Amino acid sequence: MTRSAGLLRLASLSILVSAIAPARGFSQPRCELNLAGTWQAERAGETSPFLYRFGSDASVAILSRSGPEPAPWHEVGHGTYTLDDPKAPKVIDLETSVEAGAVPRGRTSMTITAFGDTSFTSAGPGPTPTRWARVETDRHFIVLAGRRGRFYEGGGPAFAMLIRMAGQQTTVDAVGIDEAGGRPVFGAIPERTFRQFLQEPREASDVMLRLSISSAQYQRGLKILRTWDRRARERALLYPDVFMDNILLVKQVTEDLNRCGESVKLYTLDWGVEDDISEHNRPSNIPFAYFKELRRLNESRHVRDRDMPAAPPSAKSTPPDGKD
Amino acid sequence: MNRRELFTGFTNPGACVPGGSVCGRDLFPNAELRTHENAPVRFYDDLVKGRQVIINMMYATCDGLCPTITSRLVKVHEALKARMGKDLFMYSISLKPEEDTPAVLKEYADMHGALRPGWTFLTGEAYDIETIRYSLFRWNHIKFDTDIASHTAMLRIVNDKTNTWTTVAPLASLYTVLQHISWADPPKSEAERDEENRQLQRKIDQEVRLYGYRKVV
Repeated sequence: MTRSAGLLRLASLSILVSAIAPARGFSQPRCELNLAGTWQAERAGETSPFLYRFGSDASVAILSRSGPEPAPWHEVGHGTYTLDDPKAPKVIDLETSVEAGAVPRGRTSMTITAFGDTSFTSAGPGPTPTRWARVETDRHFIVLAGRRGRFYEGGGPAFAMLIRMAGQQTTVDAVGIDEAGGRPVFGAIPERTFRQFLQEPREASDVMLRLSISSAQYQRGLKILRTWDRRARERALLYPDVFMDNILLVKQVTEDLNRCGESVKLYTLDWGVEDDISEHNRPSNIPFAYFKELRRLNESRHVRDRDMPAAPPSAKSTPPDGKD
Repeated sequence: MNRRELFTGFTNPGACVPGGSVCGRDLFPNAELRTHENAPVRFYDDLVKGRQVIINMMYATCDGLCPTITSRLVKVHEALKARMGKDLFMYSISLKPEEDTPAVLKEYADMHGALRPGWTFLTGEAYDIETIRYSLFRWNHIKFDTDIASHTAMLRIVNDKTNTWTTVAPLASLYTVLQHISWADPPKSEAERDEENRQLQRKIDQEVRLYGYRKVV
């Protein structure tokens, strides 16, 4: 066998092995149940008059209104909880000081039969299944924004932006490719750039998709953005070409939206033979084309300016290692 | 680069020379990892710098190809044991660092007969493992790169001193794997090469005498 034939055989073997290898456990990250937050229970079509605020420290507070709406919620009881395994949750054990709607006083155990980003269903307490819905007090959005015709080869700024509106406070985090002196720069997007995409752009050279998301989707997206921001700051990017890094970032942040069930229609950006976007675009143009396609697929989900909550006068970005 | 480096460079084209090609620290992350003995190590400074290394990625609960690959690496270690831990080192890096603690890796190594001199199992922060995975095993293909399992099927051989990199499928034959490792061996001295040539010539002469033609490949 000649050396070239041997190498060819090796390369084929390597590809074959690669194709076989993903046998177990390496699909998309699995959906996890994060109980931290406020939940409302509904049983047999009847909504409980109580709210259950689960803390990340295993505490639970039971809230009730002091009068008819809009009377404020106040704590009427407390207790503790344990969730067996957030990655594959089966049982929640609760111990509370008062009887509150679906939850009796003392120790009770609930079997989880289904869960997602914003709700879960438990068999019990009692014979009737209970549906628990997360009470979202803040609004969260993801914006995928791109511009073309700014760089030498035709690309332009392209980034993912996460917005949280909590009362009068709006927090914006954006990471991706920005333009600095006509050159692409990967990292946290400065306010002067992301501000241009807080409203729907008018130019044909711009694209923007804005989706309303849950707090769980927001938290996961924020983790992805912060990891990429850290990579940029520590010069630990994964590719030698920042455009490839940006493609991976936008792919990760959009695909993660569907981790706990389909909430957006996705385009499969995977360099496969059916992936026309990567087939016909330079890496610098791929995020723009990808966002455009996602906008087309999700036109009905796109949040228009008129449907956005009134934006407070200033939108600030969180520090790179900032906590929420 | 001065004139001497320019000419000596021809004999060892990838070698790291001051002010020369990109190599060493520029190519490797220097993240802090933990060995299966729970010792902290810097990936480049402590494990790769100035060494010839064989690197693969695995995880302890992998019941697909990983055990077969580890068995193959045991055979590779057997074949090269005289060099292991001296001028040749083997590193198996966990793809699931959240699960693979040093103790878990030690148990895995013990179970597979891989607790051997010069062979270290490594774990660390997921962020750092990802950086190392891309720097060593990147395909520049979004689908392959995001499928971390594809990297269990590659063996990266690097000689940091000569800046030589090769890759081989660990499930190739033992002969092929050893051949690829030898491609990254440090260059031999003229005397060593002369001696090897003399031995080969003796073999050829002997075969020509016995069979009338050369059989040695």
